[in-house]
Amino acid sequence: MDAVTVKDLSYQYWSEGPWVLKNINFQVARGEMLVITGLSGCGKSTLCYCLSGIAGHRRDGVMQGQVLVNGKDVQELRAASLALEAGMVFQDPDTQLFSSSVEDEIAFGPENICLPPGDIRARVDNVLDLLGISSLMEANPYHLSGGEKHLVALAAVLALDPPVLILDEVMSRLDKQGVQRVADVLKRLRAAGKTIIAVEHRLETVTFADQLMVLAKGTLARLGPIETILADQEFLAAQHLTD
Amino acid sequence: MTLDPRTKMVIVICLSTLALIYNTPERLLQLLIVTVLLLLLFRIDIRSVWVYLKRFLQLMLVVFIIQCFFTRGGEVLLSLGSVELISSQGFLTGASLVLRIIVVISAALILTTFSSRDFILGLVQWKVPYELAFMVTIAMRFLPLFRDEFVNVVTAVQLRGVELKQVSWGKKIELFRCLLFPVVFGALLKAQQLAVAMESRGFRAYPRRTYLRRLDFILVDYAVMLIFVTVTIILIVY
Repeated sequence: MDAVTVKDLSYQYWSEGPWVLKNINFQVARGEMLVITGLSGCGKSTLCYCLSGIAGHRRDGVMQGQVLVNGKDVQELRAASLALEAGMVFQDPDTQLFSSSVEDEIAFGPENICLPPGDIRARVDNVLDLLGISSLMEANPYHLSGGEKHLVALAAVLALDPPVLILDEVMSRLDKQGVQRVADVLKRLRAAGKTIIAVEHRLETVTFADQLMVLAKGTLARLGPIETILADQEFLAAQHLTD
Repeated sequence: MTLDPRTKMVIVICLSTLALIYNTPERLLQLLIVTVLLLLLFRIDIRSVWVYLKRFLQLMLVVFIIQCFFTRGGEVLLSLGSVELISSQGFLTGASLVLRIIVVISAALILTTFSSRDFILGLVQWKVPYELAFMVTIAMRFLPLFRDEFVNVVTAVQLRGVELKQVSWGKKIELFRCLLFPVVFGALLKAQQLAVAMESRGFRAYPRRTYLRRLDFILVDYAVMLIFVTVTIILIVY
């Protein structure tokens, strides 16, 4: 069974509005990493919201088609229950962080799923260590830099240990060292069997991914092995994705 | 002094209750001295009290003036011909109200000696529903952010060349009415984003939840709470 299956997905933010996503179809196998790219406004973040169930549950929009995560229809599951299937790191970490310390922020998820205190402690320490942010444990998330906030938001999602990770431009605010650190973490997570779907503009940072999806004006322009698409300079130039 | 956050909450409740019940400036002044001593005991920088009080200066001044001019009784302190302007009773009532505000604000600063996390834990261990405790702390956390947002909107208007100091009061009210919309809209958006962020981390996935830490009373906490509650009751009754 695929980790994520998307069938004929279309989405509009309000019933009279334009279709932001049009008839998208794809599958992501378990333990695979898919990178989504495209120009600004092409629907990358909307697709992430649809995959994580947020679009179907929270927004006033119209969702057509079907999104299955681990075989479960995201529109039929409660948003909180979906968190156990797919964890999403938002493009803007400021909208995701609300606790008074990094430790509390990371512990929030495991506390919600009723883990014993010892297990919560272990998960908090593990993700802090994994992302190399143990020194930030006592810090207030509001006072961190943009890159650090993204790492904390990622840590908070990883603490829930969902089988599918959806990352919306999680490396966009990181410096070179931070990008390398997150890239290493993603490789380790994939090796551990996690399914990763990552939106990214800087494709040179995610060449280790399995698949690349190019979105253009809400439609799927191309999907295939990342090395094949990156080698097709003509296509990338036509999509305005080259420097 | 290291006390359980709940003990500190009890201290604040006791001080605030007495401040609301006391009516005379003498009593309120004594209460203020006790509050200041407690702030020192909790190693709170007294200068920070002034920072908070400064924000309420105008309110205190208005309250004081209104009480001075509209409360009658006692000796006449100031008159205009045969018209009595300020009476001793009005002056004392005004001073009492100002002292009351100072005591309540100063006492509340004791709550800043522990994190919002401990505040939630304290309330939850007192059997307050988690959702309610969480809402209270989120409100406390986000209110300053909304103030900052309003300041940002006003700054954005000024950067577009509107010199607020030169705008008449009528126009100023009209301008603030217009600015209110983006701020309220921003607040609603933030609330929606917060709900999404919380749900995407499993908030209310189960009817109950566990906690990383736990607060535990020690003997000193029981002793301090007993002393404060007993003294407060005695002072109220007698």
